[in-house]
Amino acid sequence: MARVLACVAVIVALVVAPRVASAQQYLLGASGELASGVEGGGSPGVPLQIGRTRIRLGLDLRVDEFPKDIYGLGLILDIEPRASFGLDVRYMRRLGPKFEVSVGAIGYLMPATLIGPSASLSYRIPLSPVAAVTVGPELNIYVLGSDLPDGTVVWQGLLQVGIHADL
Amino acid sequence: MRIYEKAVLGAVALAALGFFALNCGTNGDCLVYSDCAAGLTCAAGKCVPPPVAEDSGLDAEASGDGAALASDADASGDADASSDADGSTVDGTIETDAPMDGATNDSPADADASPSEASDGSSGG
Repeated sequence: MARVLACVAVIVALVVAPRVASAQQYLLGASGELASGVEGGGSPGVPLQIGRTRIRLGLDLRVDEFPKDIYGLGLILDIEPRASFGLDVRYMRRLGPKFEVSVGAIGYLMPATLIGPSASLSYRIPLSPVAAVTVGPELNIYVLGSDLPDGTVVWQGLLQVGIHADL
Repeated sequence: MRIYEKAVLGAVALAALGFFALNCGTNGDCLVYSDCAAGLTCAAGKCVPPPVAEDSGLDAEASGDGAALASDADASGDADASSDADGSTVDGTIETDAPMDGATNDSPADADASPSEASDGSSGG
């Protein structure tokens, strides 16, 4: 009988154990960034060009137990030299209180598609306990898409400046 | 961040912008198709008119000859095409074919032939 009770106790403990997870909280953040820079690639001999100027509106999500692991989704709006629309998804990792790196994928959807990997580094300048100015470089490499001439890869180096706030 | 750090960052940013503004490509250059104006395409980093496809080029070059050929075809082959039309001389040409079919159809072998064979013969002739 004692063994049965012990087994039941273990099972109950196992079932109840995940209750600890209920202490987890999802923390949301929002950001707005303005970026521009240079573009290159394509055919050999093509000089660098001034990159697109774009606005990124992002949302990010993290769990309070793992505040250094952040998942983000961004809306990309090019405003110059022509309007374009796209999305990006990122995994961001905090490196201390001031630095953050991210890797992910970026894709333009309209008026033509461009898709590729993306990586960035952000330096955070705190404005308040929940808000910070972010500055940093971003590298995008477009390897797929209807806007890409055959056999070419286009890269884009941007400097982005923005603001991030915890919601 | 101290003031001198901000100053350094600002100076670097300005220098980078100035460098790229002076060394970047012109408007005639392109990396992707959407860099070019409507009606142009991006080839070897330049916006150029799209190349004309070989087939359409041949058609364009041979348009005059093609017209002549077409007229020739009208003169000869049109007999077939216009055979259904108003009994012109062209139809007369067709009629010369038709009796041949008819003659074969009138032949004893064709008379004995089953309808399916007759139809085969007509389609073959």
